[in-house]
Amino acid sequence: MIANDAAILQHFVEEWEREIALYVEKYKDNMAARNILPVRNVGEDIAIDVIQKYDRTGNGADIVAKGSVPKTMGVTATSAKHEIYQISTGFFLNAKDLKLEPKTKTRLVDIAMRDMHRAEDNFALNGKTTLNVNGLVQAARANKNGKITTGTNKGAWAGETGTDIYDDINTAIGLMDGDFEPAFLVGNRTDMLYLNRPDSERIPYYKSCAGLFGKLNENDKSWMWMTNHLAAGYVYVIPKDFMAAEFVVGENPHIIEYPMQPGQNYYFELAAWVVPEYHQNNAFVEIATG
Amino acid sequence: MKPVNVNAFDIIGPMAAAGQIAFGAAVMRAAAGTVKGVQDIVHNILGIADWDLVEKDEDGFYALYDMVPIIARGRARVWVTSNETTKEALEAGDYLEIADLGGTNALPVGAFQQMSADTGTCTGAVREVGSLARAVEDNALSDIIVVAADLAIGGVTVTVADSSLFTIGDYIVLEDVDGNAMINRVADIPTSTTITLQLASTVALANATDYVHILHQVEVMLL
Repeated sequence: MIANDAAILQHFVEEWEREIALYVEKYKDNMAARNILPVRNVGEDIAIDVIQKYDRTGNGADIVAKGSVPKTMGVTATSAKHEIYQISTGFFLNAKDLKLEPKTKTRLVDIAMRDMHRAEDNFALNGKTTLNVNGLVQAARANKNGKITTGTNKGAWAGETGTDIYDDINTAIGLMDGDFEPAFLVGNRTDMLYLNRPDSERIPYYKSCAGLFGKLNENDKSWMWMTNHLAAGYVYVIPKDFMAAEFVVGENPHIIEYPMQPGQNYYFELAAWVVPEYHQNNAFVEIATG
Repeated sequence: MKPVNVNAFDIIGPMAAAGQIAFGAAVMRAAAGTVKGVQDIVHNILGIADWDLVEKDEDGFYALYDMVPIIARGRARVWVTSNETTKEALEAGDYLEIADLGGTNALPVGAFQQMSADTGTCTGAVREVGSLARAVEDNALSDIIVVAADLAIGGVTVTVADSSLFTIGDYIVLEDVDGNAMINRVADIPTSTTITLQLASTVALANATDYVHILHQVEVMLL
Protein backbone atom coordinates (compact mmCIF):
# COMPACT_ATOMS: atom_id res chain seq x y z
CA MET A 1 0.00 0.00 0.00
CA ILE A 2 1.09 3.53 -0.58
CA ALA A 3 -1.33 5.21 1.86
CA ASN A 4 -3.55 4.52 4.85
CA ASP A 5 -1.26 1.84 6.13
CA ALA A 6 -0.83 3.44 9.56
CA ALA A 7 -2.51 2.12 12.62
CA ILE A 8 -1.58 5.05 14.88
CA LEU A 9 -1.97 8.60 13.59
CA GLN A 10 0.75 11.16 14.22
CA HIS A 11 -1.30 13.44 16.44
CA PHE A 12 -1.62 10.64 18.99
CA VAL A 13 2.11 10.46 19.44
CA GLU A 14 3.01 14.14 19.12
CA GLU A 15 3.63 16.30 22.11
CA TRP A 16 4.33 20.01 22.04
CA GLU A 17 6.49 20.40 25.08
CA ARG A 18 9.72 22.18 24.40
CA GLU A 19 9.44 25.93 24.00
CA ILE A 20 12.30 27.94 22.61
CA ALA A 21 11.95 31.63 23.36
CA LEU A 22 14.05 33.30 20.71
CA TYR A 23 13.60 36.64 22.45
CA VAL A 24 15.73 35.46 25.36
CA GLU A 25 19.35 36.55 24.98
CA LYS A 26 21.76 35.59 27.70
CA TYR A 27 24.01 38.59 27.33
CA LYS A 28 21.17 41.06 26.95
CA ASP A 29 19.00 39.76 29.76
CA ASN A 30 21.51 39.68 32.60
CA MET A 31 20.38 42.93 34.25
CA ALA A 32 23.79 44.54 33.95
CA ALA A 33 22.62 47.85 35.43
CA ARG A 34 21.43 46.22 38.63
CA ASN A 35 24.48 43.98 38.97
CA ILE A 36 27.48 46.07 38.10
CA LEU A 37 26.23 49.25 39.77
CA PRO A 38 25.12 49.58 43.40
CA VAL A 39 21.32 49.88 43.47
CA ARG A 40 19.65 52.49 45.66
CA ASN A 41 15.89 52.69 46.10
CA VAL A 42 14.55 56.18 46.74
CA GLY A 43 10.80 55.61 46.82
CA GLU A 44 8.05 56.43 44.39
CA ASP A 45 7.43 59.93 45.76
CA ILE A 46 10.84 61.11 44.53
CA ALA A 47 11.24 62.76 41.12
CA ILE A 48 14.60 64.44 41.65
CA ASP A 49 17.44 62.74 43.49
CA VAL A 50 19.91 65.23 44.95
CA ILE A 51 23.48 64.14 45.59
CA GLN A 52 25.42 66.08 48.18
CA LYS A 53 29.19 66.00 48.02
CA TYR A 54 31.42 67.16 50.83
CA ASP A 55 35.11 67.78 50.65
CA ARG A 56 37.64 69.15 53.04
CA THR A 57 39.46 72.40 52.52
CA GLY A 58 42.39 74.11 54.20
CA ASN A 59 45.45 72.57 55.79
CA GLY A 60 45.58 69.18 57.40
CA ALA A 61 46.82 68.55 60.87
CA ASP A 62 50.46 69.48 61.35
CA ILE A 63 53.18 69.44 63.98
CA VAL A 64 53.19 72.84 65.68
CA ALA A 65 54.99 74.47 68.52
CA LYS A 66 53.52 74.68 71.96
CA GLY A 67 51.40 77.75 72.40
CA SER A 68 50.98 78.39 68.71
CA VAL A 69 47.64 78.63 66.93
CA PRO A 70 47.21 75.85 64.31
CA LYS A 71 46.12 76.50 60.76
CA THR A 72 42.44 75.96 60.24
CA MET A 73 40.53 73.62 58.01
CA GLY A 74 36.94 73.53 56.82
CA VAL A 75 34.49 71.83 54.53
CA THR A 76 33.07 72.59 51.10
CA ALA A 77 29.79 71.19 49.90
CA THR A 78 28.16 70.89 46.50
CA SER A 79 24.96 69.31 45.31
CA ALA A 80 23.97 67.74 42.00
CA LYS A 81 20.44 67.03 40.87
CA HIS A 82 19.49 63.85 39.03
CA GLU A 83 16.04 63.56 37.53
CA ILE A 84 14.48 60.11 37.65
CA TYR A 85 13.06 58.95 34.33
CA GLN A 86 10.24 56.65 33.42
CA ILE A 87 10.88 53.54 31.33
CA SER A 88 7.68 52.09 29.99
CA THR A 89 6.13 49.75 27.47
CA GLY A 90 2.70 48.28 26.91
CA PHE A 91 0.65 45.83 24.90
CA PHE A 92 -2.91 45.00 23.94
CA LEU A 93 -4.36 41.53 24.25
CA ASN A 94 -7.76 40.55 22.94
CA ALA A 95 -10.03 38.53 25.22
CA LYS A 96 -10.45 35.87 22.55
CA ASP A 97 -6.69 35.49 22.14
CA LEU A 98 -6.44 35.06 25.89
CA LYS A 99 -8.94 32.21 25.71
CA LEU A 100 -7.24 30.63 22.73
CA GLU A 101 -3.85 30.58 24.43
CA PRO A 102 -3.78 31.69 28.07
CA LYS A 103 0.02 31.55 28.07
CA THR A 104 0.09 34.46 25.62
CA LYS A 105 -0.29 36.96 28.41
CA THR A 106 2.53 35.40 30.41
CA ARG A 107 4.73 35.42 27.37
CA LEU A 108 3.94 39.06 26.55
CA VAL A 109 4.62 40.07 30.15
CA ASP A 110 7.89 38.16 30.03
CA ILE A 111 8.97 39.92 26.85
CA ALA A 112 7.86 43.31 28.15
CA MET A 113 9.72 42.81 31.42
CA ARG A 114 12.85 41.78 29.57
CA ASP A 115 12.49 44.86 27.38
CA MET A 116 12.23 47.00 30.50
CA HIS A 117 15.43 45.58 31.96
CA ARG A 118 17.16 45.87 28.60
CA ALA A 119 16.17 49.54 28.50
CA GLU A 120 17.53 49.95 32.03
CA ASP A 121 20.82 48.34 31.00
CA ASN A 122 21.10 50.43 27.88
CA PHE A 123 20.34 53.57 29.91
CA ALA A 124 22.96 52.72 32.53
CA LEU A 125 25.66 51.74 30.04
CA ASN A 126 25.10 54.15 27.15
CA GLY A 127 23.23 57.00 28.85
CA LYS A 128 20.90 59.22 26.83
CA THR A 129 22.39 62.17 25.00
CA THR A 130 19.10 63.99 24.46
CA LEU A 131 18.46 63.96 28.21
CA ASN A 132 22.08 64.81 29.10
CA VAL A 133 22.33 61.66 31.20
CA ASN A 134 25.71 59.96 31.17
CA GLY A 135 26.15 56.23 31.01
CA LEU A 136 29.23 54.12 31.62
CA VAL A 137 30.60 54.94 28.16
CA GLN A 138 30.32 58.71 28.59
CA ALA A 139 31.70 58.58 32.14
CA ALA A 140 34.73 56.53 31.07
CA ARG A 141 35.40 58.80 28.11
CA ALA A 142 35.33 61.79 30.46
CA ASN A 143 37.94 60.21 32.75
CA LYS A 144 40.53 62.94 33.23
CA ASN A 145 43.25 60.37 33.90
CA GLY A 146 42.85 59.18 30.32
CA LYS A 147 41.98 55.94 28.60
CA ILE A 148 43.67 53.22 26.62
CA THR A 149 43.20 53.75 22.91
CA THR A 150 43.99 51.64 19.87
CA GLY A 151 47.20 53.64 19.71
CA THR A 152 48.28 53.07 23.30
CA ASN A 153 47.12 49.51 23.95
CA LYS A 154 49.54 46.62 23.85
CA GLY A 155 48.30 45.33 20.54
CA ALA A 156 44.88 44.36 19.29
CA TRP A 157 43.18 41.90 21.61
CA ALA A 158 42.27 39.80 18.58
CA GLY A 159 45.95 39.01 18.41
CA GLU A 160 49.06 40.47 16.85
CA THR A 161 52.73 40.63 17.72
CA GLY A 162 53.14 42.04 21.21
CA THR A 163 49.50 41.74 22.33
CA ASP A 164 49.35 41.83 26.12
CA ILE A 165 45.83 41.93 27.50
CA TYR A 166 47.04 41.64 31.10
CA ASP A 167 49.16 44.73 30.72
CA ASP A 168 46.32 46.70 29.14
CA ILE A 169 44.03 45.92 32.06
CA ASN A 170 46.71 46.64 34.62
CA THR A 171 47.49 49.97 32.97
CA ALA A 172 43.79 50.77 32.89
CA ILE A 173 43.53 50.14 36.61
CA GLY A 174 46.30 52.70 37.01
CA LEU A 175 44.07 55.24 35.28
CA MET A 176 41.29 54.63 37.79
CA ASP A 177 41.00 57.15 40.62
CA GLY A 178 43.05 55.81 43.53
CA ASP A 179 40.06 55.73 45.87
CA PHE A 180 38.42 52.91 43.94
CA GLU A 181 39.09 49.22 43.45
CA PRO A 182 38.34 47.46 40.17
CA ALA A 183 35.36 45.13 40.45
CA PHE A 184 34.34 44.29 36.89
CA LEU A 185 35.63 44.27 33.36
CA VAL A 186 32.54 45.05 31.29
CA GLY A 187 32.29 44.56 27.58
CA ASN A 188 30.66 43.00 24.58
CA ARG A 189 30.94 39.23 24.39
CA THR A 190 33.15 39.54 21.31
CA ASP A 191 35.79 41.43 23.28
CA MET A 192 35.43 39.52 26.51
CA LEU A 193 36.08 36.21 24.76
CA TYR A 194 39.60 37.38 23.99
CA LEU A 195 40.29 36.81 27.67
CA ASN A 196 39.83 33.09 27.12
CA ARG A 197 42.69 33.08 24.65
CA PRO A 198 46.07 31.87 25.91
CA ASP A 199 48.97 34.20 26.40
CA SER A 200 52.49 33.41 25.22
CA GLU A 201 52.75 30.81 28.01
CA ARG A 202 49.54 29.10 26.82
CA ILE A 203 47.70 30.28 29.96
CA PRO A 204 44.34 31.91 29.33
CA TYR A 205 44.44 35.63 30.06
CA TYR A 206 41.50 35.45 32.44
CA LYS A 207 43.51 33.31 34.86
CA SER A 208 46.27 35.87 35.23
CA CYS A 209 43.86 38.83 35.17
CA ALA A 210 41.58 37.47 37.93
CA GLY A 211 44.04 38.68 40.56
CA LEU A 212 43.80 42.22 39.23
CA PHE A 213 40.16 42.21 40.31
CA GLY A 214 40.92 40.81 43.75
CA LYS A 215 40.02 37.20 42.98
CA LEU A 216 41.98 34.57 44.88
CA ASN A 217 40.85 31.79 42.59
CA GLU A 218 42.25 32.18 39.11
CA ASN A 219 39.26 30.32 37.70
CA ASP A 220 36.82 32.80 39.22
CA LYS A 221 35.31 34.62 36.25
CA SER A 222 32.75 36.62 38.19
CA TRP A 223 34.66 39.84 37.41
CA MET A 224 34.04 39.36 33.68
CA TRP A 225 30.68 40.93 32.82
CA MET A 226 29.47 40.41 29.30
CA THR A 227 26.71 42.55 27.88
CA ASN A 228 25.53 42.99 24.34
CA HIS A 229 24.41 46.54 25.10
CA LEU A 230 27.97 47.79 24.65
CA ALA A 231 29.47 48.12 21.20
CA ALA A 232 32.33 45.80 20.35
CA GLY A 233 35.78 47.36 20.33
CA TYR A 234 35.83 48.69 23.88
CA VAL A 235 35.81 47.21 27.36
CA TYR A 236 35.56 49.06 30.65
CA VAL A 237 37.25 48.62 34.00
CA ILE A 238 34.80 49.69 36.67
CA PRO A 239 34.47 49.68 40.46
CA LYS A 240 31.31 48.80 42.35
CA ASP A 241 31.17 51.69 44.75
CA PHE A 242 28.36 54.11 45.52
CA MET A 243 30.85 56.97 45.48
CA ALA A 244 31.57 56.20 41.81
CA ALA A 245 28.11 55.47 40.44
CA GLU A 246 24.69 54.20 41.43
CA PHE A 247 21.62 52.87 39.75
CA VAL A 248 18.81 54.76 41.43
CA VAL A 249 15.33 53.27 41.44
CA GLY A 250 12.19 55.25 42.15
CA GLU A 251 9.85 52.45 41.15
CA ASN A 252 10.80 48.94 40.16
CA PRO A 253 9.23 47.61 36.94
CA HIS A 254 5.61 46.75 37.59
CA ILE A 255 2.50 45.90 35.61
CA ILE A 256 -0.49 48.21 35.39
CA GLU A 257 -3.67 46.42 34.30
CA TYR A 258 -6.52 48.42 32.80
CA PRO A 259 -10.18 47.35 32.53
CA MET A 260 -11.35 45.73 29.35
CA GLN A 261 -11.47 48.23 26.49
CA PRO A 262 -14.03 48.37 23.65
CA GLY A 263 -13.49 45.49 21.28
CA GLN A 264 -12.76 43.19 24.24
CA ASN A 265 -9.18 44.34 24.32
CA TYR A 266 -7.16 44.31 27.49
CA TYR A 267 -4.42 46.88 27.81
CA PHE A 268 -1.37 46.24 29.95
CA GLU A 269 1.36 48.71 30.74
CA LEU A 270 4.73 48.23 32.42
CA ALA A 271 6.51 51.12 34.05
CA ALA A 272 9.62 51.80 36.08
CA TRP A 273 11.30 54.99 37.30
CA VAL A 274 15.08 54.83 37.28
CA VAL A 275 18.24 56.78 36.55
CA PRO A 276 21.94 55.89 36.45
CA GLU A 277 24.02 58.37 38.39
CA TYR A 278 27.72 58.64 37.69
CA HIS A 279 29.31 60.65 40.47
CA GLN A 280 33.00 60.20 39.64
CA ASN A 281 34.01 59.81 36.00
CA ASN A 282 37.61 59.08 36.93
CA ALA A 283 36.54 55.77 38.44
CA PHE A 284 35.76 54.32 35.00
CA VAL A 285 38.39 53.44 32.41
CA GLU A 286 37.90 52.58 28.76
CA ILE A 287 40.17 50.17 26.92
CA ALA A 288 40.08 50.02 23.14
CA THR A 289 40.58 46.43 22.07
CA GLY A 290 41.18 47.07 18.37
CA MET B 1 -2.65 79.10 32.83
CA LYS B 2 -5.31 76.48 32.31
CA PRO B 3 -4.46 72.80 31.85
CA VAL B 4 -3.17 72.06 28.37
CA ASN B 5 -4.70 68.60 28.24
CA VAL B 6 -8.47 68.66 27.79
CA ASN B 7 -9.11 65.24 26.30
CA ALA B 8 -5.96 63.97 24.67
CA PHE B 9 -6.34 60.81 22.64
CA ASP B 10 -2.65 60.21 22.47
CA ILE B 11 0.43 61.62 24.20
CA ILE B 12 3.87 61.00 22.75
CA GLY B 13 6.57 60.47 25.37
CA PRO B 14 10.14 59.80 24.28
CA MET B 15 11.21 63.28 23.12
CA ALA B 16 13.44 65.69 25.04
CA ALA B 17 13.49 69.46 24.76
CA ALA B 18 16.20 70.88 22.50
CA GLY B 19 15.86 74.21 24.29
CA GLN B 20 13.32 76.25 26.17
CA ILE B 21 9.71 75.32 25.30
CA ALA B 22 6.66 77.05 26.73
CA PHE B 23 3.97 74.87 28.28
CA GLY B 24 1.18 74.57 25.71
CA ALA B 25 3.39 75.46 22.73
CA ALA B 26 3.18 73.64 19.42
CA VAL B 27 6.34 71.61 18.96
CA MET B 28 8.20 70.06 16.05
CA ARG B 29 11.27 67.94 15.53
CA ALA B 30 14.55 69.67 16.34
CA ALA B 31 16.93 66.74 15.88
CA ALA B 32 16.79 63.01 16.44
CA GLY B 33 14.91 62.49 19.69
CA THR B 34 14.45 66.18 20.45
CA VAL B 35 11.75 68.78 19.89
CA LYS B 36 11.53 72.57 19.84
CA GLY B 37 8.78 75.15 19.78
CA VAL B 38 7.56 75.80 16.24
CA GLN B 39 9.28 78.85 14.74
CA ASP B 40 7.64 79.70 11.46
CA ILE B 41 4.69 78.47 9.43
CA VAL B 42 5.05 74.72 9.05
CA HIS B 43 2.62 71.85 8.61
CA ASN B 44 4.63 69.08 10.24
CA ILE B 45 4.14 69.78 13.93
CA LEU B 46 4.28 66.85 16.33
CA GLY B 47 1.68 68.22 18.72
CA ILE B 48 1.29 70.40 21.79
CA ALA B 49 3.67 70.38 24.77
CA ASP B 50 1.59 69.38 27.78
CA TRP B 51 2.27 71.19 31.03
CA ASP B 52 4.08 69.70 34.04
CA LEU B 53 2.70 69.96 37.55
CA VAL B 54 6.20 69.73 38.98
CA GLU B 55 7.92 73.09 39.40
CA LYS B 56 10.47 73.81 36.71
CA ASP B 57 13.69 75.77 36.92
CA GLU B 58 12.03 78.34 34.62
CA ASP B 59 8.41 78.57 35.64
CA GLY B 60 6.09 77.67 32.79
CA PHE B 61 8.79 76.42 30.45
CA TYR B 62 10.57 73.17 29.72
CA ALA B 63 14.33 73.52 29.62
CA LEU B 64 16.97 71.84 27.51
CA TYR B 65 17.06 68.03 28.18
CA ASP B 66 13.64 67.94 29.88
CA MET B 67 11.31 65.15 28.77
CA VAL B 68 8.33 66.71 26.95
CA PRO B 69 4.95 64.94 26.84
CA ILE B 70 3.40 65.88 23.50
CA ILE B 71 -0.35 65.83 22.92
CA ALA B 72 -0.59 64.48 19.40
CA ARG B 73 -4.34 63.99 19.00
CA GLY B 74 -7.53 65.06 20.67
CA ARG B 75 -8.51 68.24 22.49
CA ALA B 76 -5.95 70.56 24.00
CA ARG B 77 -5.54 74.20 24.90
CA VAL B 78 -3.10 76.03 22.64
CA TRP B 79 -1.69 79.54 22.58
CA VAL B 80 -3.39 81.83 20.06
CA THR B 81 -2.58 85.38 18.98
CA SER B 82 -4.93 87.54 16.95
CA ASN B 83 -1.83 88.66 15.02
CA GLU B 84 -3.75 91.76 13.99
CA THR B 85 -3.61 95.35 15.22
CA THR B 86 -7.41 95.32 15.01
CA LYS B 87 -8.31 91.84 16.18
CA GLU B 88 -10.96 89.58 14.77
CA ALA B 89 -12.55 87.38 17.40
CA LEU B 90 -12.11 83.63 17.18
CA GLU B 91 -15.25 81.55 17.00
CA ALA B 92 -15.80 77.89 17.69
CA GLY B 93 -15.26 76.01 14.46
CA ASP B 94 -12.61 78.41 13.11
CA TYR B 95 -9.47 76.80 11.79
CA LEU B 96 -6.05 77.70 13.13
CA GLU B 97 -2.56 77.66 11.69
CA ILE B 98 0.87 78.36 13.10
CA ALA B 99 1.21 82.10 13.67
CA ASP B 100 3.31 83.93 11.10
CA LEU B 101 5.59 86.00 13.31
CA GLY B 102 8.60 88.18 12.63
CA GLY B 103 10.31 88.58 9.32
CA THR B 104 12.16 85.29 9.24
CA ASN B 105 11.66 84.03 12.74
CA ALA B 106 14.38 81.62 13.84
CA LEU B 107 13.37 81.32 17.49
CA PRO B 108 10.98 78.75 18.97
CA VAL B 109 7.51 80.09 19.76
CA GLY B 110 4.74 77.58 19.04
CA ALA B 111 1.67 79.88 18.93
CA PHE B 112 -1.32 79.70 16.59
CA GLN B 113 -3.35 82.30 14.69
CA GLN B 114 -6.68 82.21 12.93
CA MET B 115 -6.21 81.27 9.25
CA SER B 116 -4.55 84.12 7.30
CA ALA B 117 -4.64 86.49 10.30
CA ASP B 118 -1.20 87.85 9.36
CA THR B 119 -2.65 89.24 6.09
CA GLY B 120 -5.08 91.42 8.03
CA THR B 121 -8.16 89.46 7.04
CA CYS B 122 -8.96 86.18 8.79
CA THR B 123 -10.42 83.27 6.85
CA GLY B 124 -11.11 81.07 9.85
CA ALA B 125 -14.01 79.27 8.21
CA VAL B 126 -11.84 77.94 5.41
CA ARG B 127 -9.83 74.79 5.98
CA GLU B 128 -6.49 74.86 4.19
CA VAL B 129 -3.41 72.72 3.99
CA GLY B 130 -1.90 74.63 6.91
CA SER B 131 -4.94 74.21 9.17
CA LEU B 132 -3.61 72.25 12.12
CA ALA B 133 -6.37 72.78 14.68
CA ARG B 134 -10.04 73.78 14.95
CA ALA B 135 -11.25 75.98 17.79
CA VAL B 136 -14.01 74.44 19.89
CA GLU B 137 -14.74 77.60 21.87
CA ASP B 138 -15.03 81.32 21.21
CA ASN B 139 -12.30 83.69 22.30
CA ALA B 140 -12.27 87.46 21.86
CA LEU B 141 -8.45 87.54 21.61
CA SER B 142 -6.52 90.85 21.90
CA ASP B 143 -5.13 93.41 19.52
CA ILE B 144 -1.40 93.15 19.15
CA ILE B 145 0.27 96.08 20.89
CA VAL B 146 2.93 98.31 19.39
CA VAL B 147 5.78 99.00 21.79
CA ALA B 148 6.31 102.56 22.99
CA ALA B 149 10.08 102.39 23.41
CA ASP B 150 13.02 100.42 22.08
CA LEU B 151 13.86 97.13 23.78
CA ALA B 152 17.42 95.87 23.46
CA ILE B 153 18.41 92.20 23.45
CA GLY B 154 18.84 91.22 27.08
CA GLY B 155 16.30 93.78 28.24
CA VAL B 156 13.49 92.84 30.59
CA THR B 157 11.31 95.97 30.57
CA VAL B 158 8.84 96.55 27.77
CA THR B 159 7.18 99.94 27.44
CA VAL B 160 3.63 100.09 26.11
CA ALA B 161 0.88 102.71 26.07
CA ASP B 162 -1.26 100.87 28.60
CA SER B 163 0.08 98.06 30.74
CA SER B 164 -3.33 97.40 32.31
CA LEU B 165 -4.06 95.17 29.31
CA PHE B 166 -1.64 92.63 30.75
CA THR B 167 -1.91 90.31 33.71
CA ILE B 168 1.03 88.90 35.62
CA GLY B 169 1.67 85.41 34.29
CA ASP B 170 0.40 86.15 30.78
CA TYR B 171 2.26 84.36 28.01
CA ILE B 172 3.25 86.93 25.40
CA VAL B 173 5.19 87.07 22.15
CA LEU B 174 7.75 89.77 21.45
CA GLU B 175 7.82 90.31 17.70
CA ASP B 176 10.47 92.11 15.72
CA VAL B 177 8.53 92.50 12.47
CA ASP B 178 11.76 92.39 10.46
CA GLY B 179 13.41 89.62 12.45
CA ASN B 180 12.76 87.17 15.24
CA ALA B 181 9.98 86.57 17.71
CA MET B 182 10.20 85.04 21.18
CA ILE B 183 7.68 83.63 23.61
CA ASN B 184 7.90 85.09 27.09
CA ARG B 185 5.82 85.79 30.20
CA VAL B 186 4.83 88.84 32.16
CA ALA B 187 6.65 88.66 35.48
CA ASP B 188 5.52 92.02 36.85
CA ILE B 189 3.65 95.19 35.93
CA PRO B 190 5.60 97.87 37.77
CA THR B 191 3.98 100.95 36.17
CA SER B 192 1.00 101.88 34.03
CA THR B 193 3.21 101.85 30.94
CA THR B 194 5.73 99.08 31.54
CA ILE B 195 5.79 95.34 32.00
CA THR B 196 8.67 93.23 33.27
CA LEU B 197 9.55 90.08 31.37
CA GLN B 198 10.23 86.70 33.00
CA LEU B 199 12.95 85.91 30.45
CA ALA B 200 15.51 88.40 29.19
CA SER B 201 14.57 89.34 25.66
CA THR B 202 16.36 87.61 22.80
CA VAL B 203 14.85 89.98 20.25
CA ALA B 204 15.32 93.72 19.79
CA LEU B 205 12.09 95.68 19.51
CA ALA B 206 11.92 99.08 17.79
CA ASN B 207 9.78 101.86 19.19
CA ALA B 208 6.46 102.37 17.33
CA THR B 209 7.27 99.53 14.91
CA ASP B 210 7.42 96.17 16.70
CA TYR B 211 4.76 94.38 18.68
CA VAL B 212 3.86 92.55 21.84
CA HIS B 213 1.20 89.85 21.46
CA ILE B 214 -0.93 88.72 24.38
CA LEU B 215 -1.50 84.99 23.92
CA HIS B 216 -4.83 83.40 24.77
CA GLN B 217 -5.35 79.78 25.67
CA VAL B 218 -7.99 78.39 23.36
CA GLU B 219 -9.42 74.89 23.44
CA VAL B 220 -8.97 73.24 20.06
CA MET B 221 -9.35 69.91 18.38
CA LEU B 222 -6.02 68.94 16.84
CA LEU B 223 -6.39 67.96 13.20
